[in-house]
Amino acid sequence: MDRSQLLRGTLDAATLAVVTEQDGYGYDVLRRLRAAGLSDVGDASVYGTLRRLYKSGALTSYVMPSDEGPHRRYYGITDLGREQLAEARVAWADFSRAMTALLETKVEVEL
Amino acid sequence: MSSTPSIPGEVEEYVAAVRRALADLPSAERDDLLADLEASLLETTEEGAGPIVARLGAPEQFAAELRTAAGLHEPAPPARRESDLGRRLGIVGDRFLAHPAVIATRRLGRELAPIWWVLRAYLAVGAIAYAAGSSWSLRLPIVPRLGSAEIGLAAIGIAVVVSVWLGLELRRHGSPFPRLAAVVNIVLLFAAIPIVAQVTDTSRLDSLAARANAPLPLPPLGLLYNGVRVENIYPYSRDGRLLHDVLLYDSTGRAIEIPTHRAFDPNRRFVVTIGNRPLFNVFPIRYYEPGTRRVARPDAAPFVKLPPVLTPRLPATKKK
Repeated sequence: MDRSQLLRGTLDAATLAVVTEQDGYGYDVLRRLRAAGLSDVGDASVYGTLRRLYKSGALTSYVMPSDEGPHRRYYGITDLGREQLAEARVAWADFSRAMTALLETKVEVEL
Repeated sequence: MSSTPSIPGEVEEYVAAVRRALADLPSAERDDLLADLEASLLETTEEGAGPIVARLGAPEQFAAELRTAAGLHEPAPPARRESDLGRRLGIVGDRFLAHPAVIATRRLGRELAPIWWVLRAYLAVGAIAYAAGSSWSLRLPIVPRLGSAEIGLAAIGIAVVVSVWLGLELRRHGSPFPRLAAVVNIVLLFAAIPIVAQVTDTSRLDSLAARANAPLPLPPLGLLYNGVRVENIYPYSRDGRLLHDVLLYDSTGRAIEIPTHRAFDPNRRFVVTIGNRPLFNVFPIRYYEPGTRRVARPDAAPFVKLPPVLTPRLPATKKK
């Protein structure tokens, strides 16, 4: 699997999860993802992902006037986005279980 | 967080660079992507120290990542294939350009470029005149009449000066728009087709006009009657007898000679002087039967009905 594809798949779920908690604008989402532990996620990746999820209908967006600096575009989750997130949760659970099992086995063999 | 209503130059520059890297995207798409970006980058700079490039990487790299994450790399493949083809063509082109003959030709072309500069100036003026539907000078068929042939000539002169100056300038400093320059040159080259047609047409018209205005060509030699050459003359006396060997002269004493299409006919009967000089003004001209010295029908003449004459005779005069 292509690394960027893997990242994109994970990032979609992570972004949806963050936005489900609370609507957020680009940099805000990025900050929360990093705070959650995805410290090396790329700025451009997050902005691009937000844009793509919005275009696919998983996110909605609205502009909030800002007193300081330019207006901010906030993103919120849609029903479609919630569905995608639910699917991603199941898929990730399966995937991580499988990966964990595999990696643990491998560790045992190597030991 | 400090209040920064205006976008710092650093962010502005960075966004502009990203915009350039995304130049192939539809403008609405690009604007949407970049509108968010400014606000976010602004916060990025507010939160941390150091240049933005150090934290976000090169704008091109950022743009590529943005593009991938936004799922916008889909339209890229045709472009990549194109650039792949372009690269291959480029390699072929480079190899071609490296050939000694091509280098020599290019050097020659460079030396001869001023000729093209002059020519293209003329073509530019010609193209304008052609587009404006101007007529072309009849006196100088290569000069379009922009109002008048003089103005046309002046326009060509100015265009030549400008074109040569431009050529020297671009040669010295390099063209800021090499593609535009190439397109303009090619367009002017193609403009030569209608202009050459126009010039040829005008010179044809010119030669027609010249012919119309030229003095009439000298009439053909010989004796003409109503523009038709007289082949023979048959004099009759007033009482209707066909005369033979009549010598004709005009008022200045010139012998009226008729160069007929049978002038060199060996069977022509020449009346000769005692000094054996042939006379050419003797009529009617008679021809011998081939191979003999006999005129078969000395009375042969066109059919004419001679009118009866009333006017009294003049006394005959004999040349002394």
